[in-house]
Amino acid sequence: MANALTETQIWMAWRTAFATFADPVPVAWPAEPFEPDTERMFYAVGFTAAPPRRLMLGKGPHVRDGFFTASVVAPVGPPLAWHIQKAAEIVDAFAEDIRIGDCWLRITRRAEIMASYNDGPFIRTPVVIPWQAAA
Amino acid sequence: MSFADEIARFQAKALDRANRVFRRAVTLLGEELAKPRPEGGTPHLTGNLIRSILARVNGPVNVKPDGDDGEGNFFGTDVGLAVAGAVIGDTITIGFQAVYAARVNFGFVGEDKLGRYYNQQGAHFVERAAAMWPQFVDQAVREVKANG
Repeated sequence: MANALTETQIWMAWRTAFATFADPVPVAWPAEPFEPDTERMFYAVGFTAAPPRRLMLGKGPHVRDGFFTASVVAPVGPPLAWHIQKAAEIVDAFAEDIRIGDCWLRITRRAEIMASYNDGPFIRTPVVIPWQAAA
Repeated sequence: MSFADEIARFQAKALDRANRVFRRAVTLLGEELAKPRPEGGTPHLTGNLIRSILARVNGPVNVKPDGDDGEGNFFGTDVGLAVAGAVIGDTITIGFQAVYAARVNFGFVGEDKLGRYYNQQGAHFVERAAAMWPQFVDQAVREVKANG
């Protein structure tokens, strides 16, 4: 049960932090239906975590490593620099060593802006944010 | 054996072990990327995405739209072979050559039969494998220690 609580805390901490950042831009959350408006930018979020690593022989905290991926998905039109600038705003908002939420969750290093690619009527620019939690 | 010889021998052995840990950890990373769901995190339909994995030492992995057969199909991965001669200090890049790999990993916007757009969530298998890197290094250290 404690493990399930930890996983939930980590996800909710990320969700709350990113929803606060994104407002009023809509966000496509994992496992939730989302119909994009082709005239409007949105963020698409992904969340991955590696299996927990044990720190001690006895009962105690485990280390969890993962990535929070937030993609800037914006209509084709503005120059590439505009899309990268939008991605850089995410990098700045979630800078290294920031602690997220009330659990022991922190960003371990500077987020990485991946190459933009054409995605139908949109340009998608993923930003990969590495995090670590001990819980 | 002189003291200097002992130091030199220790140094050579330590460097050899470090190189073996490095190569083994990268190989484990490549193996994780090649594991289809649900055992691993990489989506699997025909296996073409997994067969497009390529490793390069001190060089980039480029997208290859035509594949190995000229029609977008790939024949197999080479991670173990590519890293066999790598040493500490090298930069090893593991990438997917399939042109659709980024869309599968990060997601895409699709259009259904009724003309409505939907957001297809990414599979994020690359991030998942990358997050496991500390575990691969730990495992590689254990294996190298056990094998002397």
